[in-house]
Amino acid sequence: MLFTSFAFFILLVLTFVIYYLPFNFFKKANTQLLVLILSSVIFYGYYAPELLFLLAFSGAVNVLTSYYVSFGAPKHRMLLATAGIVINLVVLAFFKYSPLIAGTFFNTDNGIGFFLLTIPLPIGISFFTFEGISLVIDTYKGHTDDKFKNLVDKSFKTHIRNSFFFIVFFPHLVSGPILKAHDFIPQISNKFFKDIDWEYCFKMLVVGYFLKLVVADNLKDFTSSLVYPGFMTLSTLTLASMLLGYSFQIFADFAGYSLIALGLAGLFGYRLMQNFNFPYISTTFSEFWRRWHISLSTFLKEYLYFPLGGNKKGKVRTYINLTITMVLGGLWHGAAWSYAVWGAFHGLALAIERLFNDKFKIAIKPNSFFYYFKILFVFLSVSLAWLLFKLPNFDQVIMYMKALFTNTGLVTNYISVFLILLYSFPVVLYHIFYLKRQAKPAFFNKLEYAAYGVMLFLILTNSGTPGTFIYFQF
Amino acid sequence: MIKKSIFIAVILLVIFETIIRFSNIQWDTSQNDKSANLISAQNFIYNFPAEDIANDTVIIGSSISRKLVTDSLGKRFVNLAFNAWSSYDGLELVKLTQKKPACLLIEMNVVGNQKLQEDVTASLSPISYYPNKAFKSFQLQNQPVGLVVGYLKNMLKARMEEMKLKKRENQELYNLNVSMEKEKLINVLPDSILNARFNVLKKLIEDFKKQNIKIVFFEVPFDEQLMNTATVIKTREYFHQYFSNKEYKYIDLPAVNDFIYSDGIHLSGKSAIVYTQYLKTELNNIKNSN
Repeated sequence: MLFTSFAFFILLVLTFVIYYLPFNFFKKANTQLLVLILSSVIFYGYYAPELLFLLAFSGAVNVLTSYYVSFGAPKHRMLLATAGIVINLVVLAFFKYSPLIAGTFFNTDNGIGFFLLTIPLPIGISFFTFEGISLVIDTYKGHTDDKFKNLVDKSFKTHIRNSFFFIVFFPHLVSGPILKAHDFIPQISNKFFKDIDWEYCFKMLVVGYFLKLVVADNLKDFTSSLVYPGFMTLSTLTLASMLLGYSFQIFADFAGYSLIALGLAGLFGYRLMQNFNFPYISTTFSEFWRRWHISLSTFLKEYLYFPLGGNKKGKVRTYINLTITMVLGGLWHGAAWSYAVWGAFHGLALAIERLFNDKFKIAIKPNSFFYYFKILFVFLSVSLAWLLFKLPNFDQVIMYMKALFTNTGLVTNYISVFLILLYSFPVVLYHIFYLKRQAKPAFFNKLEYAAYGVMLFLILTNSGTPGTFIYFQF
Repeated sequence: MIKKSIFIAVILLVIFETIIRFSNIQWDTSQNDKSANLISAQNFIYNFPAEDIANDTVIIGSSISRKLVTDSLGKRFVNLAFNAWSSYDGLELVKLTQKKPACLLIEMNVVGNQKLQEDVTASLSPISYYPNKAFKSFQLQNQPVGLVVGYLKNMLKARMEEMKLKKRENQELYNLNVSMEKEKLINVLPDSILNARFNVLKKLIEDFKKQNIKIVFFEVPFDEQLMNTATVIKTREYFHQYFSNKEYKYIDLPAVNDFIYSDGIHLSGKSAIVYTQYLKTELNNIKNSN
């Protein structure tokens, strides 16, 4: 179900009303969670109910392993946790990477290759699988680290309810933010209508829907021409503006979704982690990854980079670990080698940046020319790399780059270029406000309501044609 | 803060709605091909009362027919051809809105996927239909950015025509477009798919015929190099097979070399006017012959 659909709106209103009905009406305190679990199941199974079996299977694996990791025989804990992680990864690999394996190692016209190629990709599998892994690992860590203690309730029934709720809670289910068990499970408790932080929810929802409906959904109808062979006939200026437009679109689409998720969760008394923190003001690639898809980058850091040794095993090993983490992070996005190359690009950028910082200690003053130059450099590099998201074939990426430099003589549709820049502008403004707000908070706070009013007006009058969220495909 | 924001939004909406209602803006406010399609569809849904359309001829087709200069045909013509879609979408829309024009002028060039775009069906759902009909500011053609675009297009009309001409003069680009189209048109769809699509079309068109709506088929010329491709030939054959010349009227294809094409498949500005006039004459001949 889409956050922008009418069906979702109905589901949300019904869930909200039932959720906050007085508890004694139901005579049970845990009814709230059951209401949210039920509406999440409807949310996920609305278009493809058969996928609920997969969700139930994934949930069951993680509920069982996490419970027995906590309360089973201590000598089997490690084995159980490993088994839980492996099962999660096998399920993910089977559904997500079968077409890639088929295309790389088998003849896809018939036999096993054809079978693997036809396996459908269940929506949200990358997200709920990672959350399941987080539950198993956090539970395992609970024996040695206080931060991860008491995630699993002694009552198996309560544990099933809490864990399943953690995995399926609809605001984050299909596109994140990727929750970590130790952040979310401690929040589970009775929630009251009077405790809703309305202003927080309003802000998240208005900015989220504005970024999605007004910015991303409008930009998508321009960047849709960024496909082979269509782009071959476009001028350099059009190609460049489309690439930048796609960079702003992907931000507005995903950050918009994440903000809507935060606002929706807030309506039910839960705080999800911030997933984007103005990434396009980053002056370095490492800063970019602290600001972009934070829930994924922190997941990869905690559950992959640190276990690989992080930066504790020498410089060379650090560079290798960074690259491995980013390549696997790239592959998490999709079953195509172009995603691995995209990850490798970022991994290498991080490694080179670290190498450079290790060799030369250069302090850059904020607001200096070089500071803004670095912002521009990182933004343009990141934007260029998004091309690997849009064009699935390397040959096409190369042809695009070639066309970018050779199509200078072709006629430009200036109206389209103008519109791409116009719809991208709110994202630029969003980042500028963030930078300037730190210097003059009182001024910006005073005008805040007007900005939200204008965004609401534009949501009503200038939304683009509806489109799915880009990250649904991951 | 929430109340203040909502207040601002409501004030802006009231001002905007008032401006839209009291100004008679006739600009082309479409921002891209998709929005142009939806504006046409919404216009047909919200702004053409069924009784007004009873004597009209509705042109149904793809982007190829969208190039027709409908204004030159007079008031009783509505162009419901869509970019990147096909005749099916227009026919389905006419059916869903239950409007009954006097004549359906159906383009034969493209027979595409037969699933009406969700954006169009969404415009027909009660949740969109009533607010969009009541408030003009909710309609796609009145988007604030669209109005800016409409103003710019109006202001830069001469310059844009000049650029289109310049684009057409680039023979290398033209040849590239033709070769890309040719590649698509060489591969003909399997008979099973074509039969399924034509069965759907047949059902739709027969239902219109039963309602005494006149049906006329027409084909817009392409560049000579594309005219003899397998897809073009086969599609034409299927039309004649499913809709016999005895029961349905066809407008003959004019000589393809009499026209200039912007990219091989779309008529360029002046040729579009010439072809539109040809269509009008032929249509009148059909009417007079009855």
